[in-house]
Amino acid sequence: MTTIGRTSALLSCMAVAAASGTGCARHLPPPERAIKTNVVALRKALGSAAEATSAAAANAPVAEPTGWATIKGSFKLNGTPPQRAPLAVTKDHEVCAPGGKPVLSEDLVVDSSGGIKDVVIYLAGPGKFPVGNPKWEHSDYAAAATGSSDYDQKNCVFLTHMFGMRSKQKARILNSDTVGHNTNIQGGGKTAPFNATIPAGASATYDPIGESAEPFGVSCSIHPWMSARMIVRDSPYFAVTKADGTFEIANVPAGVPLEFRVWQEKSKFIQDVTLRGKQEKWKSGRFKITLTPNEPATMDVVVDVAAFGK
Amino acid sequence: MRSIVSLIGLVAVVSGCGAPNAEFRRYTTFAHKVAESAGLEKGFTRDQLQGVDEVMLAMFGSPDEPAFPAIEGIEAGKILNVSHLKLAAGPMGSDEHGNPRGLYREHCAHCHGITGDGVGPTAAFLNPYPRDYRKGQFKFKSTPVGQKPTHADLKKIVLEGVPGTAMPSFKLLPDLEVEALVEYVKYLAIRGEVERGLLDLSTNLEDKARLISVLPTNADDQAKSAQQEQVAAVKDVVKTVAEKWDGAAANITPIPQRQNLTGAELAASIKHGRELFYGSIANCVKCHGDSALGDGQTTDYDEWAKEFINDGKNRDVVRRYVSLGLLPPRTIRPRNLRQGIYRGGLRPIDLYWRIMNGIEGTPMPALAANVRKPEDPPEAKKLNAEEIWDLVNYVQSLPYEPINNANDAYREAHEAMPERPL
Repeated sequence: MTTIGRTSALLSCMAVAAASGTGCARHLPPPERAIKTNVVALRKALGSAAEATSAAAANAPVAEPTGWATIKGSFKLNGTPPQRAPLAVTKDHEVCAPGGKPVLSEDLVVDSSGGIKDVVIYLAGPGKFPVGNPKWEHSDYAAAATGSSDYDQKNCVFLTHMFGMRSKQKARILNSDTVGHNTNIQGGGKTAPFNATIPAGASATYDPIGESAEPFGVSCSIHPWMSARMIVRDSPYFAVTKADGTFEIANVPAGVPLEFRVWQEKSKFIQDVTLRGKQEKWKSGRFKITLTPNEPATMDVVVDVAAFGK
Repeated sequence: MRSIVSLIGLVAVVSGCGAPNAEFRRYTTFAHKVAESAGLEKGFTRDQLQGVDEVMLAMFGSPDEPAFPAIEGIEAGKILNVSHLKLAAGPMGSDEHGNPRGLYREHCAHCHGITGDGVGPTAAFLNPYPRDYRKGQFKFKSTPVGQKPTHADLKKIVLEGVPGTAMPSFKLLPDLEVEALVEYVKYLAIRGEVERGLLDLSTNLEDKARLISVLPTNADDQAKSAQQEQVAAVKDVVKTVAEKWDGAAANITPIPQRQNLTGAELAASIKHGRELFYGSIANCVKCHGDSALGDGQTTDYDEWAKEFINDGKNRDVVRRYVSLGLLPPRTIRPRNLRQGIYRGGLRPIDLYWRIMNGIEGTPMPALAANVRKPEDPPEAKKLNAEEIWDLVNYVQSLPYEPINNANDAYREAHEAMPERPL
């Protein structure tokens, strides 16, 4: 065979290969996941909504609260709580672990009575919270609506492990240690992230700007074992359980169906609960409640240890 | 010979070869994250995901035909020059007037991906990985953490590249093409952040429900009004993202005048900067290390990984996200300041902004809260604005500071030539 002959044989093979193999195998059917007619319909719906939404808003029947009521309750663990893991303190031992005391993880803290600390319960519906509307926001909350609360750290531990605040409030981030920290707030949803050095004894102001749909992390990059959680809400109706697992949310709008969500660091949204001896499923941590004015509601919730299994 | 080559081409054309249409990829990692944290045991349903895909297509179009939704209260074209998108979108080539097309795919997509997800074909081989725009966060900018970069910030990165990484400079492109690429990056970033918002919103849906219901032509008023509410919720997500981009330029951190220093003054400034570097207010030493080699704190991750894998200690979680398309996470290293390579630029104002504002999405914190404002009481332990320049001067001197016994070396050099900076 001449060189040319060999080349043509090779090229012919390539032609066959091109036809039968590579390129053609890449022909893909249109993706099943987007239907063209739907996209066209949606484009129309999105385009025409500007005038329609205002009309809809005017017509929409909005249920209004008829009074106020308090929600009180507790979260208790059913079962033996897992051991709290010691955290690896890798620097600044004299400040962060004085006397070699082990620093324990706070992802699930249960007291001797089974009370679960740092469960957050917050209003999530119906719809967007009408901030400042006196029918929805009790006057007791007005004073602190734009106030500032303190967020401190001592011995390289965030003193409020689960911190809740309103979106128009500010947090004064303190450092009561003799070493410098930096407070790295993850943010999420409309909540702004934040990351500033907080020298020993100094402070900085955090403005979260908007609310987040669920809690997010707070950490310190200098001391990587430090970890906490934070949530920012437009509404004042949220609470974090105390060391004994109890909580109280005062002056909640009554007479309208409300939706709350319940979250804990280790279980995330709490779904399987026992309420008044009855098992309930709170899908995505949501429970619905309609309060009767001036009648306190009690929510004594038991959560099985299996919910924290992960 | 020639006929055989044309034969290959002919066979290829006749048998329908060619690349499939480019498509935006779903934000699978984030979808998994929000579905899991909402406690959806089987994740999102097919209907729910399809609902998001279709709304995304309706608003933002496809990689070949990008679109940008009108946003109430924001003038069209103010945050994004939509006509520029055309130059960057689509397959590479040019139109009948010779204007370029497909610039993004020509210059960017192989690393940053068609979707701007930072996982183009070459991404896995790069360290650091290319930026995933979809989180809407950018590192090197003139605005504080939580604020968007300005158009000029993004343009600077495209023009200068990111030294020390695989991101090259595109200074050789005509200005119009650079502009088009910047607009397209903004488009992908806004698109991605909206997708996040829509996925978040979708966790509230019933299994068979869609973000916006597709109505039959004979739908009743109740269904129509319900659909309008859904549309309003989607528009709210878009508006929230767009407003942040709209406000970026108003949030630029001002830079005070840098003094012209004599040699001796500069040496003094560098010396003071060094004290600040090791001092308890700026506290740079904790992460950048005792010798500024970037070895003080090396176990942390950036937010692009951290939002999925947290501290990275749970290997199952890491594996799960890697299987969903996250590139195997690497820890983030503080910069080795002795190399003289500054990713966000080596101009003094670049270093000033990095120190004042921190670096978004990374462990590098902002120092701004510790800089004295006129209303601060005199006893407050704060730095003056000039002291940030001292830090900048010290950081710029670090590549030249002898590393062994730096204290002595510094003193000796200064004593020998007090009028000369190091």
